[in-house]
Amino acid sequence: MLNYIWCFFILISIVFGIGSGNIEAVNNSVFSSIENTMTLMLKMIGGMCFWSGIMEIAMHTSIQEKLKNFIKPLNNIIFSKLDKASSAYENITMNMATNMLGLGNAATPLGLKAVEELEKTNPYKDKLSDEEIMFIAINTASLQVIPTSIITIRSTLGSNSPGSIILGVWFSTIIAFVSIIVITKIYLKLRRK
Amino acid sequence: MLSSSGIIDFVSEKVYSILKNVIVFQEIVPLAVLRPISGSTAMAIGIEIMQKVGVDSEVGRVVSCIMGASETTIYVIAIYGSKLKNKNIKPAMIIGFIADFICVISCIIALKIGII
Repeated sequence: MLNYIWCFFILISIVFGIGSGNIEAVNNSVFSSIENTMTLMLKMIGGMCFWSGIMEIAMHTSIQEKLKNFIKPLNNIIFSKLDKASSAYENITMNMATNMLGLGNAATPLGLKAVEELEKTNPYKDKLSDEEIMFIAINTASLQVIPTSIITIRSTLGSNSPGSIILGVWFSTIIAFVSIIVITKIYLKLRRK
Repeated sequence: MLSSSGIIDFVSEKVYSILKNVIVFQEIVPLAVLRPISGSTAMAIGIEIMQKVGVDSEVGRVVSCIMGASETTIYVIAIYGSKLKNKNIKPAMIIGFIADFICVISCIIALKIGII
């Protein structure tokens, strides 16, 4: 699916570039953006390594357990119908805890396992079950404790206080998270009728 | 490539003219449009905007906030969707896009009430 999106992007740039007479700029931008990306990556490597390391350490401390204890009562409300002892439930909690630490790459396999197990109990043939929709929805809303990559980018670009946006990030993820749960719950109610 | 071909500006202008009152800053529209579709493109655009207007300017802060707070919806859907073959994933996708929109709005609110 991602492949299609990329192809679509490239095609539409070329077509639109020809149509609007910007084709030369399109052509040049291929090379200049490669250069920009590489420079930026080199600048960011240090910061990214640092944060990944910190979070990796956090994964092995009791922080993860604490996060899980914090998420569990929340999950009882969000996934009210799911069996608390099931491994799907466990995987969902783990996925959310890892996502909160900003380790998206580590969270994805856990999420995939959770979805696989949810699928086994899916009563519908061609639709997603309630839990699956809810799980995907909260994954797209992404609750994050420390937005590491954006802090790294900000310091790379020479910000005076790279971490100053953190309150705003918390504020808006929490709003998005809560409202998405409400919207999904409403949608699922309507669907059942 | 996309940004220099002008299509982003084209789409963004349309979006901005519809949502002028909600999205106060014209600069962030391209980011808001691309964020749910592609993470790396959004990151490139976000960085471009921040370089242009300054990281610590109002727009710069909103941009960072959006980049930190939202998730690439299409990517999440594509990954989990690949596990759920032959299923209708449209509702999940729509919900994801709504989430991103709420995210953008709440980032602007965050700036207005002065916490970023």
